[in-house]
Amino acid sequence: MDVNDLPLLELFTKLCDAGLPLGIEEYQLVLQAMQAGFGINDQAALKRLCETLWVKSSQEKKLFEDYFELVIANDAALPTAEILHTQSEQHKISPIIRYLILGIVGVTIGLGAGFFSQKPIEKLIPSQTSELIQTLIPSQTSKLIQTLIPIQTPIQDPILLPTTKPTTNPTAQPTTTRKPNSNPSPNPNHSDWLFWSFLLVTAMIFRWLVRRNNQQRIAESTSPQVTPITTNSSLAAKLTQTIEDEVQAVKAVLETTSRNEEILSSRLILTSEYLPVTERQMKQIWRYLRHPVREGPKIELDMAATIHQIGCQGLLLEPVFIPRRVNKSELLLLIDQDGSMVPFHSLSRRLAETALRGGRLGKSGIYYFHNCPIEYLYHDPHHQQAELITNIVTHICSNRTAVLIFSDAGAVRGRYSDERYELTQQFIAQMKQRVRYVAWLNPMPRKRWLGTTAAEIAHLVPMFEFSHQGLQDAIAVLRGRFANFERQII
Amino acid sequence: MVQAVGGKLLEYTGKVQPQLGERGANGQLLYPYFPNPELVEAVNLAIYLERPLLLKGEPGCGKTLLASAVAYELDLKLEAWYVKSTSRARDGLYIYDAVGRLRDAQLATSNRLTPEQILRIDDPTSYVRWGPLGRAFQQQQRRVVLIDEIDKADIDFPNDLLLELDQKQFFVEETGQEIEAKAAPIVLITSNDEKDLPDAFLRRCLFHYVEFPSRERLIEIVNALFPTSPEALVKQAIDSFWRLREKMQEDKGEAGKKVSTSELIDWFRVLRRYPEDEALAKLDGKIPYAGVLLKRWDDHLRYLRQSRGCE
Repeated sequence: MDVNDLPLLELFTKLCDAGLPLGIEEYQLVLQAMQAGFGINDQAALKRLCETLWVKSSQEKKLFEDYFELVIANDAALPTAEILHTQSEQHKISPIIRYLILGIVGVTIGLGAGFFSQKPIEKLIPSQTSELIQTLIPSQTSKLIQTLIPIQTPIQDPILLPTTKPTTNPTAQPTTTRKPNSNPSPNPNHSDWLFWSFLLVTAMIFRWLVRRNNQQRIAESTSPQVTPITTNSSLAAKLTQTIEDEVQAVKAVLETTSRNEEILSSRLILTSEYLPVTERQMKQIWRYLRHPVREGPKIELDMAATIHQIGCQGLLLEPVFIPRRVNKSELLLLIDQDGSMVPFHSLSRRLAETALRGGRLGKSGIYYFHNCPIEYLYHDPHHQQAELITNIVTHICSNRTAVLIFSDAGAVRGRYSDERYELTQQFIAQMKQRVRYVAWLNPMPRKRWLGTTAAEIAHLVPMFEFSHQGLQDAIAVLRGRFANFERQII
Repeated sequence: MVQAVGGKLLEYTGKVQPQLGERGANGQLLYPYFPNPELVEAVNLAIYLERPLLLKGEPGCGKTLLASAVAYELDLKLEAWYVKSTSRARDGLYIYDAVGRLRDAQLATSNRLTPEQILRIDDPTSYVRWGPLGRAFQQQQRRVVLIDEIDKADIDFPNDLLLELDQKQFFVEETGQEIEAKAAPIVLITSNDEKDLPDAFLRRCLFHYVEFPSRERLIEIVNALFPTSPEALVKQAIDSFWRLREKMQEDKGEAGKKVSTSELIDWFRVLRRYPEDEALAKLDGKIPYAGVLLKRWDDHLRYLRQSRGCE
């Protein structure tokens, strides 16, 4: 097995694009290991090798397996230059033949009509074919065709249009039909040679158009995605089931399916969940929310203080100990639930889960509300266990607590509500009596805040849209760093 | 690379097993270990590429034991570093006994030290106590270093080890010594997935997920550990264990705590204390000594409900 023959690089770049943290070094490692004899026996060995070197978690493993299947295991689907070439050749030939046959059929019919009936074609067309046309063709094209009816050739069109997939070449039809239009309208009673030459011209124009159309198609098909649709859709299905990190999944699937309109539906399923920040990124960001304080039993030797003491006293009486540094940052996460926030439930759930796992919650915690906090906050998303806001403010919050509110603040519905603004204002004022840092995360993009309650609330609290940067900035605010927060908003 | 050029490539096969009752250099009992071929390959890759191998997998599936198995087969010394929540990355390299030095200095001023002890004070390096990784770096022969449960420590811990694992060198700040690895140790790291490890750290590691042994392998393991046990009992016990495990998997999915190999071994040890027919009678459709296997109250309840349902 020759390394150069393997589409390893393609697999590697695909995995990089899908979000795996890989560098050139990782690629070199695989090559180095292969030189030493690892992973060269068969495909399974190669897979194990790449997996050991490139994959770092079970989620990534699923992603890797799918890509491996796609790029290496499914060798037939490999878009090597040769295969691409033959595929594009096939693309080139088959439609031409198809169009030619149709053209010939059309010509024969035309001839048949010209020779045998010897009747003016106007009679034939409006009565019989127009019905056919109207049933077969959407209204717009049928109009076009109706304008052509007086001409002798249109019989070609009703047959051609439906059979040659009208959707694939929307531009081709009008031009085909308009061209003959520019010709001087021939009299059906004219001599045969005029009829013949006209047919010939039409056939030539038609052929030219077919060729042009094909070139377009080839240009499209030579782009790297020529993998079979079946593999892609199965990949999409697998990913939706298995991968927890939807952002990566969406990215991966979008990348593989971006040129296949057939699986547009699966793309929609995936993107219906709005997850702009991956779970991993969230966890990483929570780590920044820290407030180290020396607290607890004195177990750490304070070298400087001990030496200072010896300096003062002339001898070591006892070493000086100090407590260890512990993270005392506390987070109060307030989540807007239901109503306009329903589409963001998975996002808020993930935010809550990562915050819990990050262990930054101290004795405060996660509370839920609907639209804006009025008198009570709830311990559960279903608004069952209520707790008085005053109670939370006085007993649970301390000046070390950071409050992060996750709500659309009315930006989803795009309306301004005086009541909502006032209630929020009251709540914020109440909070600020006790808490120093409050930040707001809005799942709607900033440009959608304009003219809604969100824009006004953003004047009260530093508000950020829910993105990687936005979340980082919000945490920076909670740590008391306002550097990234611009007070200019709107 | 060094080994490859030198002609002697260390290779782990997973086939060389200690005899029952054989003891290691530190007097600890050695047990046979049955890795699957993928794990063997991952170990060999780590040895060859001189990169740490990060092992994940459900608790009790034998991540920690791998290190001693590798050390046994390759006839290398094992340096185990059991990480605690208070562990700092530097502890694995060295600990500087500043208090000891202070004490000695005090004693020296009051003339209570022997001349040898005074010589010791003059040498600052004598207060450096090497950690597992620090010791392994200074050996001519490669050593196997186990960093057990790395995710127990603070989130900064793995990142603090990056340079040492990558460059295989470190500085002793107190003495200014520069320690460079003479032979790259074979580093095996285990993680229970309690905390996410930093990307930069992951990037430098090889990763292997230790799968739970198959049923056949479980029988092999039990037979190897308890060679005299009757075949019927082994089969029956493994059957019951496997059913329980599958049920747990059904109920809890991939994430929950399930019965593991180490629990099976303990449980079987209890079972074989009884005569074969008695033990088989106990096993008949039930799980005797469930406390050995089921560690959580809801697991117990589920089991009780189930066994009642069977009757």
